Amino acid sequence: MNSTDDLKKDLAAVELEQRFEMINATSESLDLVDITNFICSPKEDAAPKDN
Amino acid sequence: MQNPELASLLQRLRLQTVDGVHQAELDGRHYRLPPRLHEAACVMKTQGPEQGFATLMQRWDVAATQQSALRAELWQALTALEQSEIKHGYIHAGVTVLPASVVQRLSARLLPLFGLPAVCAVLLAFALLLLDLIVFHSVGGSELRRMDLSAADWLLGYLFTCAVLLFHELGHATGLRAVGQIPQQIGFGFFLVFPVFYANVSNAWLVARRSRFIVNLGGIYFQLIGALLLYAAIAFTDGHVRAFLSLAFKANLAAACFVLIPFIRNDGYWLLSDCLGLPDLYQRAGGMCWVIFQRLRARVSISATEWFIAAYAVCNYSFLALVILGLGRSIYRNAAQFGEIIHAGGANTLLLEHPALLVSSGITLLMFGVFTRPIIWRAYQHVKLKSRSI
Repeated sequence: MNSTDDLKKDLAAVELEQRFEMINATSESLDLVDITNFICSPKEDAAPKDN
Repeated sequence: MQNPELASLLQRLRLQTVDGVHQAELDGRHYRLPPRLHEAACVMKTQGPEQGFATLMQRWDVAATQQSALRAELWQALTALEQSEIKHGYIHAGVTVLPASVVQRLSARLLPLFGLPAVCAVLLAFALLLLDLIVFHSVGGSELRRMDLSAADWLLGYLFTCAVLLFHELGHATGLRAVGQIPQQIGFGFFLVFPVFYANVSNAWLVARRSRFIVNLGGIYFQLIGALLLYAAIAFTDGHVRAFLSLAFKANLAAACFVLIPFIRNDGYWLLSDCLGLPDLYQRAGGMCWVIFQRLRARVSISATEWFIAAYAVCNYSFLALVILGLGRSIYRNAAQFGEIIHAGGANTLLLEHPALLVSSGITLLMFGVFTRPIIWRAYQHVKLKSRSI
């Protein structure tokens, strides 16, 4: 015969948090990786010369 | 709760066993169920509450005298799924940008992009793009620095960036569809003080951990596609159009790297959480250093996962410290600028000629407050407790 106390212990559900996949929508926060120089810095010989 | 209401709840309840864990979904909320509750929900869902309960009592071998008490417990456990207080999400003031019905239609159209040939083609094309970028071209880097960009250029650049960010969210939604679940809305809201776009992919809890990686990486994958499209557009344009496309291209690549940081519930956080199989990684990390300290004192063995979570917690705190330090330096710089401006032209000059500086300083101060408030509050509580005990 099963004890109801043991059965009761096995009835509590745990709620999981909502899964929001998010991405920052400010260009300011991207300064963390310095967007103006990120990967696209010109090669010296490739950059057109200023007049 | 009466039987018809319980029967209706059970009909709405979606039950699934994922990686050996029993899970349930009810009206967009997700739960982990202990084996008995899962078994009870399955039986009562198929046989109805009363008949199902009778079957369970027989199966679990419960004495007749104890059945009514257990019935009340079981009814309460099931109704608690619906009646428990709704956990507030970590995104505040959220507004829906694309409703669930639109996201579901769009993700169905975009689903072929998750086919193996398409994925291979995109990855190969992106590898070639990087090669071309690094070896041969500068993609507008020099032009941007030399060009006098107008407010409209910046605005268009930002709008294109927003479009790419929304595309990122569609990537998650389509990834969820690719693993057989229905995505929910895409919205805009605030995480801490940061404005964010987000996709509600809570149904990812209903698929195996390995499949969740497809959902987690779906956003970055779509950003790679966005990068390819923008790169092609940059090649065929010039002047200011090329400038704002370049802004969007750079912001896109930077954002793709940024979301891999695993400390602020970015895509990187969910990747790590699924990798470790810990759905509550953030909560666990909070107290893990203290747990480890206590165990070391008691000479109790510590598992590799616990060490890893503690290391994650340390990195998390370090990241927080780095952000606070950056904000502190920014506040110091702004204060020095304020001093110079007021000294040279008075407070009116500051108000009339430097409104942007005032706004950015306000935002920086606000962010500093948001990040430091929990630390100051805990320190205050600690001191208060100590002073009481003296």
